[in-house]
Amino acid sequence: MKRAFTAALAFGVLAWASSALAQPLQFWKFGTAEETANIVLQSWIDEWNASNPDTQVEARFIPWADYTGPTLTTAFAAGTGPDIFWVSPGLFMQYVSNGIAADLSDVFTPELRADLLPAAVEAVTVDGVPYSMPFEQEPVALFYNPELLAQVGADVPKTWEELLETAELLQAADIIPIVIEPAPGFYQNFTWYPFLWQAGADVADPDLTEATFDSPGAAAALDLWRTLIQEGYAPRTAPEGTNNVTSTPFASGQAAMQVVGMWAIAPLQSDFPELEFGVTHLPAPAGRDFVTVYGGWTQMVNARSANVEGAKRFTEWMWAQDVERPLEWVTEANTKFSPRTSVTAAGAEFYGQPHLRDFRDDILPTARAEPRYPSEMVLIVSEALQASMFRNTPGAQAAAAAQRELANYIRTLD
Amino acid sequence: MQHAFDIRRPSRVRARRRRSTAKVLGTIGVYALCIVIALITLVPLLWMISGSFKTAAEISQYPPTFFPSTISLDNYVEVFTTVPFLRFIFNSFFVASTVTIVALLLHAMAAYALARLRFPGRNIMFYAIIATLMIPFSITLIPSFILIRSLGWFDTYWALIIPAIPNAFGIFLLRQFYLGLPDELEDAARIDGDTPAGIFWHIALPLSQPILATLAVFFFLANWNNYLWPLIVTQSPEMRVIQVAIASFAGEHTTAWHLIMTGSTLAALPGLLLYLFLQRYLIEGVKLSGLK
Amino acid sequence: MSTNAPRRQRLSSRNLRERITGYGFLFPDVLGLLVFVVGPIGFAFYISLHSWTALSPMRWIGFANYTRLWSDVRFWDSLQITALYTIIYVPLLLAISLGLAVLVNQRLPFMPVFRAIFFVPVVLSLVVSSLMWRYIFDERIGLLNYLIGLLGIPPQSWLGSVELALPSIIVVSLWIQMGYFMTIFLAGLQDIPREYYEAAMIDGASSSTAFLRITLPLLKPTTLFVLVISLINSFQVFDQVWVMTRGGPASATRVTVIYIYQQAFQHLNLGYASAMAFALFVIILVVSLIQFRLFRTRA
Repeated sequence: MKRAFTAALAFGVLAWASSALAQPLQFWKFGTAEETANIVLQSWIDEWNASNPDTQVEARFIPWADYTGPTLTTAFAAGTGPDIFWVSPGLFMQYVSNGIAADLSDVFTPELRADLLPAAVEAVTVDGVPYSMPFEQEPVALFYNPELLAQVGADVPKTWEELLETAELLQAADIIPIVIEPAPGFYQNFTWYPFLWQAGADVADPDLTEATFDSPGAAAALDLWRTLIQEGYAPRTAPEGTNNVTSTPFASGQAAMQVVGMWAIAPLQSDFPELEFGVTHLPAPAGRDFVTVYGGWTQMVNARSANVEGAKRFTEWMWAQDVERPLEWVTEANTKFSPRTSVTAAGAEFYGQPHLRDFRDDILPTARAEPRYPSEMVLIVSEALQASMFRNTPGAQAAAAAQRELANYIRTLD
Repeated sequence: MQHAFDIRRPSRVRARRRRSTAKVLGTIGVYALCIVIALITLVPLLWMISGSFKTAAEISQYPPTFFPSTISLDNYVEVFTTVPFLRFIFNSFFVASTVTIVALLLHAMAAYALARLRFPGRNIMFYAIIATLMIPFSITLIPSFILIRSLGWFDTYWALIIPAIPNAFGIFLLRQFYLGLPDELEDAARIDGDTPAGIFWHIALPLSQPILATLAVFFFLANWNNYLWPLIVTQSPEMRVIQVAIASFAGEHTTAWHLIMTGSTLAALPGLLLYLFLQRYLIEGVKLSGLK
Repeated sequence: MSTNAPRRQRLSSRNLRERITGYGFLFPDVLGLLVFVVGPIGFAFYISLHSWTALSPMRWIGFANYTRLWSDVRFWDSLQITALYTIIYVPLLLAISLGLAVLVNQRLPFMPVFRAIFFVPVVLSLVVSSLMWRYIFDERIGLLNYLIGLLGIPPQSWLGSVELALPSIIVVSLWIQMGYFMTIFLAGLQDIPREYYEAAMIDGASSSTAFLRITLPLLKPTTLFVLVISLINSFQVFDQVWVMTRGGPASATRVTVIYIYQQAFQHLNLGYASAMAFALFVIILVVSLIQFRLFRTRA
């Protein structure tokens, strides 16, 4: 009797386990099923499903605007979060510190680690453990319109002083000098960090034990954007986020420069083919090195998934094995860089094209990963930047106020 | 000797002419004002419709153009062929209509009870019902989602329809309306021996046509335009509603504004048509004179 | 009717039937509200007594969230902005929508057409309307700056300046909502029998007197509704602000629900966000109760 009961119990557990395994893995990201990038992803999923009948994957594409906010949060709150999903640097720490991110150490083999750029590995590692799979990098640069600059007889600015001088000339000629992101949020911070870093400053130390925002460099970087807005060199509003380059005055040939990332190349070339543009470093303070920032999503596995192993294998198959799929992602489905040097080498011809060449050779080497600060810190920095830009608060004052708040916040971290 | 009437007549004529000139000027003023306001309200609609005919490149131009350079139906074709837009329209329509019909009936009953029937606890219930409007949706989103999940309604029409039916707004509006009905109506019916329920069915409900028509449009629109809740509680493409579909046209690096304009033009039609259709219920006033 | 009879015996069968009908009529809606509205609200209150990131289990902290918001400068700033928004928006909305309703209620040709046109903003999606208004408010190529330029006024940055952003959003909100409340007032106006006006005309009353003596008093229930609802809505304004400015520039338009939303879905402080929502709830409740008092109708 006891044996029969045990057998039945074992059978039941097995049945439950196999049914749990039989449930397809939920893979969530943003966008629509109809866009090119996701069509490519879906083709990979179909390929995987064909040869992995016991680890099926099912994709769900969520409208971009609400992917990270309500949709993901609500799903996790109800205990129904996806098995595999994409995170941005801004979300990364939240998911790691709450135990959602699965340990990917066995995916990060020595071969992979040798292939990945160190900065890319560092960006997804906490206390020596990798928690997410990087697969793309999109650096930010200065896009410029050579015709408009020639109209006022200016060269492409390399320093902050040159930038302001050129802006003055352009403004006098009734050309919008430069487009920067005016709306508060992650993206504005993201595109501003290079200016902070170029001035030799930073928000805090890498381990987040001490806020370092109260510095002349931070004040100068805040003052730069403050000048751009207050003097009218940059528009105070935009119809939508300036990361959507096609609706900015730059795309329409009304603005001479824009701070935007590599993703802008493809839309500009397809929707505005007559527009001639160039790509170069963001201006730095005189005598300082060029620094920029890169962004990009990474793929995370839900540590509470019913099939963590399957999810990890799938992630590994997508990004960490052959070059073929990662290359397709960064050269065909999109225009991005891969953090794997082997992939970048394999795409040598693609990256040899105009603009991409400049990104690969000049800009990418100077790029730092987008910081993964807790959202409270992002907010404090954002408020300082906004106050400088729109309330004309002097940079030093805004930085000092932010420093106090940052220090208070850091004290509450363990 | 002129008749007394004749002496008065010139000033009467003058007065009448003064009144009619004033009336004409007043009417012109009314129309002028209406036209100005109409322009203010219509410009965005016309811009949206014109956007639905523009190409993706033209629509992003800065400064934006008002009239499309060419009128092409490509966007409409694209909207219907690249995504199952008809299915989305059906989903939204089915949900909005069902909610509207059921909700109207239930709210009319509840509102009538709150306005015209007497029972203990009536006022407290009324205030409690209104109080449910005072909590922002952001906060109840997650609890509601957990509830739907535990009921097993995720990704079904139930999740879209049932929670949308109980609604303090509709109850409140109808209750105010029923408050305004003269008592004589019910007294007459009561004398005739009608039950409270019967008074509701035979007298109050027929009289509420204008307000029910108004509420029908509001409820339909509220559910038709609903975005965040359907986004959270549905997943499969077959269950998607129209606003989620339109939001999907906005991407990480580019936004397909031409498709958003097209989708939004299509989305605006049912609401407008419903309003036009129900207008006649709004202008037919309540004729109470017969009952006096 | 004898007033000495004990209450119990005065409960006639008529009264009993009325009570049963009353409860019966209310039952389906109240049940629905309890399950789908009050339930989640109750759970939200429960959440406010915890610290919760949605990604990990909840942690009980009692009323700590409430004491925290007491000293949160951003929360009080947001309340100030919301109050300012409400004080300007609600009276304007009332006046405009009532005015429109009176305007189009007249028996003149084409009025139904105008009624439909004024209702259009309600039908348009917020995304489309907000984009259009962002272009209208654009500092370089916007229609508004063009028009005021004709009057000799220099161009303004409407959504990009700390002083003008909130008034600009109020204008957009009015534009969106006026047709909505106009329709409600219209339904209320239809309710007033024409005979009253005819009698007044015969008595020699002017149209403004008729308006003050007949229309306004009989519109009291409708006006109370519009007032309460528009107040509740404006304290909770979110959508159009989020789409047009995200609470900027420099937090000049960061109304309370935007701050709550950010705390909930960006900072993952769900408990804290809930607590703020309930603090806001208390404020809205008190204000609404005051209105009901002031507008006491024979209820």
